[in-house]
Amino acid sequence: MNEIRQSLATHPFFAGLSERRIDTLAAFAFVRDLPAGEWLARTGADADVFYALIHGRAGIEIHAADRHPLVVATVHSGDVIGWSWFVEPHRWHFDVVALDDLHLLAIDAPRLRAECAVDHELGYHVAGQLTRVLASRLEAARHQLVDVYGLAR
Amino acid sequence: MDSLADLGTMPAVEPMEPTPYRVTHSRRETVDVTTLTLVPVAAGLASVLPGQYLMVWAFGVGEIPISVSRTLPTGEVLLTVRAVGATSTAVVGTTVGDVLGLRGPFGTAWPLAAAAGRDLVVVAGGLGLAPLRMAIDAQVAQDPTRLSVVVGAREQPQLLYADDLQRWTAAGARVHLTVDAAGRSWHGAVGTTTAVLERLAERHEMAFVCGPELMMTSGARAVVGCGVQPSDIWVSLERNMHCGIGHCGRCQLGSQLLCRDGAVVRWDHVERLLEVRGR
Amino acid sequence: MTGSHAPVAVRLDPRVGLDALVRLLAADGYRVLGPVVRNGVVEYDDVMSGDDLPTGVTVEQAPGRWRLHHDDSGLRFAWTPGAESWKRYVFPARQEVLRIRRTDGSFAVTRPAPPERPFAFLAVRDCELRALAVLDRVELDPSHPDPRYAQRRAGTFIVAVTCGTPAATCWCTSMGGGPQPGTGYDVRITEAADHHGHRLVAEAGSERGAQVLIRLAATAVDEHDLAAVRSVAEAATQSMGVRLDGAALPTLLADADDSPHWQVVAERCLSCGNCTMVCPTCFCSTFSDHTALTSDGSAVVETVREQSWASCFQLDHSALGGRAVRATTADRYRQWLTHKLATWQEQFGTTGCVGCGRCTVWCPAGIDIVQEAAALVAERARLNSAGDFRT
Repeated sequence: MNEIRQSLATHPFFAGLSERRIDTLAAFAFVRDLPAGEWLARTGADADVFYALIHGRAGIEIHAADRHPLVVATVHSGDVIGWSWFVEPHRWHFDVVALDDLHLLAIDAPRLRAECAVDHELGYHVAGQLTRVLASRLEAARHQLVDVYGLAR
Repeated sequence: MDSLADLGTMPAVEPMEPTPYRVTHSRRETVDVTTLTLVPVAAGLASVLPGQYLMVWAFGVGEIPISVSRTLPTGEVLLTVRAVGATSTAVVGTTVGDVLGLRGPFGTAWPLAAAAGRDLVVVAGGLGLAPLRMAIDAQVAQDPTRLSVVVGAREQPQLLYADDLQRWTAAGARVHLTVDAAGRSWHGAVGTTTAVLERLAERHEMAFVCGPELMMTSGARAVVGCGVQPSDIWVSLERNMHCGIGHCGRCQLGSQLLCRDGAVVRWDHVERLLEVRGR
Repeated sequence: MTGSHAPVAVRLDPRVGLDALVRLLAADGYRVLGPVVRNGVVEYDDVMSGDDLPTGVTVEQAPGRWRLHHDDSGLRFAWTPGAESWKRYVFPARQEVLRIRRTDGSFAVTRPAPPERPFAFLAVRDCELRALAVLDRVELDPSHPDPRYAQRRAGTFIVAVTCGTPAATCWCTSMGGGPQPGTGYDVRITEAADHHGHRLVAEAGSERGAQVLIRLAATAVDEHDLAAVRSVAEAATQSMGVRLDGAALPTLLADADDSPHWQVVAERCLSCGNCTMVCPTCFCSTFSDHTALTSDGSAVVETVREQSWASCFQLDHSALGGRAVRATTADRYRQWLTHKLATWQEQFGTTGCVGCGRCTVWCPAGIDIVQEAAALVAERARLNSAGDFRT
């Protein structure tokens, strides 16, 4: 429990939350170790867990039968994995795979959603932090779209 | 007019005259990027500062600006060239023994003296690592522990200078690699250089940024977000440089003649100009 | 100057005296170039005698309009310059820079021969003189002087002339000049036609200018002549007025990059580049290699590197990665106007415009640079006084 509180309190995503709210979150957060190669999320599955990475590197992958699996973004220590749990229909949009052995916090997403619905200050914090994640991913996707290192078109 | 009376007898240095250099080595870096090693046929050019460029001329084809990616104590210059147009394709297509004409060195250099004793982050995208290689080498020789290098490329096969990346890491510099997409065997990051910069734990006081313009503008802003003063950020800008000496007027960006006042310029001097479309 | 002695100034007959001056300069070894009327315009070309210069010629100028008129006044300098400026001689529209020849395993370079004789420029207006000084700053930059320009420019003998009849498009008084050259000449001529008669007052501005005037063995000037020099200049200055604060333009135009006015001008601008071709200070150029094909299919052995005038109105003038940076006419007009009137100052320490008005006169759409600059300045002032909701 102590490690969970400690990990939550020091993770950038939760920075600025009061001790009381950290305690609330700690009640439904778990510390996990996952070996490299394990799945954290599969496209289309229920997004019922929200990961906060403490150590290691995960890959967001796109997969289809007619192409090689492609890592399109990596997630690193201090990052979080998943916004799908926050947005209906609460299903994963991409695959996420552990690229290294991972040490991470797994948070019960339905419980966190319910907590956000009641405690709007917590909800505002979470929504704001997730928007930062999305903004960064969106910029990256647009730069990838224009093939920033490629020749001018 | 009296001051002009002496001009007829002034030393007639012709800045447009190429000096012959012979190709002694050609190394394929990626599918369309090659590094040539050139040695002067007779007398060579003046010594090159990190970040400066040469005008490289192929007989009967044309002349293009190419940043110097390394010089050797024995007088060789190394040029890393991407085959894009007619001249660069001809330059990349040269083989050992061929002769090219070089003019220069031209332009400004990375401010290494100002970086001494400060925490420096170097951000390179794609071919942008070439104009930075001499600066990184110099910084690694000085104080590798105060150096971070962020290198971005489209995919892993497009990353330049694998040997150097390893050597810089071994020397104690923090080297972060990122690509736009990868397979699972890739050990670096996938994402933009900007995302890497936003994640960097180490603090910095100064930044050198070189790569595609979109990467530089977004990268420079991310570096500002890390607390570096805009006046301590340097970027390397390019336009069609023809003469190298501020005479042909083609490489203007506002009041900057980039061939002469650049390519290495201070971010706060150009940020607003780069925002203007068609400037 | 002549040191402690009185300045040398002589009175010349408008026909005989001018002719003697031309012949003396030619005899001294100069290539004498002056105004000639040809194809209905005033051009600068080789002159052999004083009679080659115009007589009784006036010029009517307006935006998009230049018309020559003849009268029987006998005046020698009542015309104003045409499209051509002296730039043509010190910085030719097309010039050979180098010849590069393949040799066994390398190449060898030869340079063109320098001009055999220095130029003597005859009838140089103040705007033309300042334009040469502006070009000198660009081409003779101490770190990278252009050796070909330096050779052509070396030893130029300048016979300046006071502009007694400025045109309606002239605005030198707004750009730091005036009808009367104040410095930078060897000889200055002022044409006077009053109740003391029609004569040319020639004043020395340098030692070699003084020597030339002394050797002309002409009559020394009297006080009426010197008074006439002053009154011609004063009358011309007053007729012009000041249309813009030229020195303030770099500041006034500094934040005009995103002005909608560029698009307003672009609706009229043909992007033809005439303004840049007639401008006496525009220096943009292209270096290109010209390699002749061999008839027998053997390897090309020689290539000629040429420099030719370029224009910021050309689509590919600024390019990056093979793509035109200034894709629209508005982009290109902005580059032209802001470079000329604003950014040049920071680049070379002078303004890029001398107020000669050529760009306005020779614009097929009659776009007046002064009007456009004034419109931008007014727009900026309006916006600045209106404030901004974001601030």
